[in-house]
Amino acid sequence: MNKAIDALCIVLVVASGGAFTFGVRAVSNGDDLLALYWLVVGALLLRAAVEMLRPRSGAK
Amino acid sequence: MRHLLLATNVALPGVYAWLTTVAYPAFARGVGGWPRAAAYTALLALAVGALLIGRHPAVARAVGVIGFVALCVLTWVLLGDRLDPERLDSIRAACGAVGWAIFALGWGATERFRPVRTDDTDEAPDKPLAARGHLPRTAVIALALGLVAALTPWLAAWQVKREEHAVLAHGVALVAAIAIVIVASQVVVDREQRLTRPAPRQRVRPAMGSLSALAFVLAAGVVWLLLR
Repeated sequence: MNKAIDALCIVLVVASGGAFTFGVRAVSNGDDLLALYWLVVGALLLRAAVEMLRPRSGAK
Repeated sequence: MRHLLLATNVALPGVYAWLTTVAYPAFARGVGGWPRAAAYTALLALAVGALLIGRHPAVARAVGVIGFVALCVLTWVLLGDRLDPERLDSIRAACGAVGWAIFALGWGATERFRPVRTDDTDEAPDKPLAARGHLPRTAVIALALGLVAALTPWLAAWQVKREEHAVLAHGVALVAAIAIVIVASQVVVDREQRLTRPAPRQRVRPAMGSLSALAFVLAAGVVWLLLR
């Protein structure tokens, strides 16, 4: 199961790359709201990967 | 694996700085062969420095920093009037400055990985310490995927044609690329080095907040797309 979560972490990291790419493309097209949306999605994907990687010690 | 990370840490910003401030003017139309040769040699010095960083740190630093910077300066000197400040593209210059700053930080970060010599060891002083373990091939594949993911927004930023948005796109892409590389390397190294891992449930539960927020944002995006 831990291996599946590790694989999910990698998928989240790769997906964040895609989300950031969409964000940069939206910046290129001048669509600021869409750019912000994809950047938020990318940031959340990376944050989820980190949190699964290093669970806080207080987590039950 | 540590050497690969160190090499990537110095090579990526170096290539970025080279592309924006050296290659761009050196490979413009009408430029002679000498500036181009100097630019190519600078890139070669950077590659050699990055490759030697694990085995011969002092040589790597001499070639990768002093050699690379000296050859870049030589390129600029050979370019002469083509580097007139009035002709410079301010956006590329700003991106190049960021690239050089990160290049300096990248080489600075290698200092803490220098081997520490102790007197109470039987090992020969110049003999490298034996690794306690090796990362498997899957770790390299995972890191490669992370690097590709980091490069994608970085390359997309070069497609931005409107000048007023190009700096923002490059800034966002650079920060995103750095964040992705850091997280990808953490995923790979932690995955292999941690001896006792928490239960899967203990790993997923702390991420539930971010995953829920992600699901909400994605759902909101779908609704927005449908109503648009």
